[in-house]
Amino acid sequence: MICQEVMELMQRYIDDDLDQQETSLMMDHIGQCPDCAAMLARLQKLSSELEQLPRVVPRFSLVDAIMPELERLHASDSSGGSHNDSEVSESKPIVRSRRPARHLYGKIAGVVAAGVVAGLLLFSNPGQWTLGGSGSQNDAAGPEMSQPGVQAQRGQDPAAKITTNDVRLMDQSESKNGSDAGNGENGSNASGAENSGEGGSAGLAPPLNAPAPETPVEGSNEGFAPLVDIPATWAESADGQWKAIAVVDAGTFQVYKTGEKGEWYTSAIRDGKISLLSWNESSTILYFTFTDAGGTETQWQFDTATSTESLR
Amino acid sequence: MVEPALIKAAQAGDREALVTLLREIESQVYRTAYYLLNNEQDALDASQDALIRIYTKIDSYEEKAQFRTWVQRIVTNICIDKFRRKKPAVSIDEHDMVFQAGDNVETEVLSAYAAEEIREAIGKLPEHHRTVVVLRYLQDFSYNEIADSLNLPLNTVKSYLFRARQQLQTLLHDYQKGGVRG
Repeated sequence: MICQEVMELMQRYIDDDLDQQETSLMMDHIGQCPDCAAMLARLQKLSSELEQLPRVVPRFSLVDAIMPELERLHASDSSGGSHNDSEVSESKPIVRSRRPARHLYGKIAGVVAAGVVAGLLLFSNPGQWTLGGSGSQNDAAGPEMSQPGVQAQRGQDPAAKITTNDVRLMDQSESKNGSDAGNGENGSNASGAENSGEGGSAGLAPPLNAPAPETPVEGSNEGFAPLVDIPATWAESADGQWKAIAVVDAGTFQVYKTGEKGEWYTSAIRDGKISLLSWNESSTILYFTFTDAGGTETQWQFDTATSTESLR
Repeated sequence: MVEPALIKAAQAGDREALVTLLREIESQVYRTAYYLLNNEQDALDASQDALIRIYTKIDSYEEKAQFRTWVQRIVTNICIDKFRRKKPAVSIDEHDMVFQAGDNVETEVLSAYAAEEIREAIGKLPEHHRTVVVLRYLQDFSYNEIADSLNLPLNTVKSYLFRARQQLQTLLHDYQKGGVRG
């Protein structure tokens, strides 16, 4: 009897699924095989720990919470309407009104906010960019500059507030509430406004004398002398009106418009990495590369006229 | 266990009976959602959705299935949908948790965190393995009841459960040996 076969017997033994003969087969093996004996002990311990997991209960009555919704369904049923799925899904905004907080989004917001701050650091310190002069120095400086920003801001409340807009943006798909969606575009937050306002008046121009980039996106910027020193993390449009920055580790990018407060657009969150940001010649379309968790690269574009992202 | 008479009354249009029935099952619905989604707020949302769906679909329940496996099928489907939609967000969240826990893990008494460690480890399982474990241990379902709930062949259920326990055992064993996480 090999250990792999005994593994299955042990697993079934834990579920009380062995007959007497199988049990004695297993026990015989375990008597001679210390590895399997140890494994059985661990599995038994695990199983008893799983059995003892707390029987959690909701902190308020769920039926009470959905009662208004049930009343509504009941009323529409009595008046001749029939139950169907669309009716259930229409009801979601009411059910979800109990939702006090969005923990997940809050945490993402922290990461996104960190990116915003990192981005703002870059924008509000144009001097550091022009001082560098040569493209290669700037290349080296980019990632290092953004990292401390990310770490310093992680988890701070003010940073998290910056991105209430992002939460709303993400939420639009499931929320049918029009008033939620309205705020998505303008940065109505205090700290974001402060920083970007400062950056805006200081003149956001990054170095215009940069040499040709080392990693051009093929075809997309032909005949266009890019102003971008670090195509991997951020890009400014040729007319100086737009800036885009990829958010470290969060799979998103953000677009800023010169003279407007806060982020102008925040992309959907992707499970992977966004890099190689660049603008087209007429400063209307942002190109970027998305590398998913499995390492597959896809080419995307974002159209500022329609605020839509699409595969190229 | 929900009385068959109560289910019959609910199906016959007795609204009081239907609401009573929902009250009886709300905890078991929530428990599954909580351990599948690993997040209180998501679990509250998912279990409310599930209860509403049960309310509207009670007519479609047929007596040949066990009521509790039918209920668990509804809540697990909702949770799996939710889980898939949220996947990118969840993975970021997990990274975050790992970072935070890494700092203080040495100073804590490991055994005191057993339940939380296990819950976190369950959260790392692939969705089907996770679902099987939750039904087996949080609903005390048999292989057959799990198979009925998830509409899976019995052997598939066993193989998911066995693999899930092996994975959990590895995750928790590694953790207890030296704080290897991730």
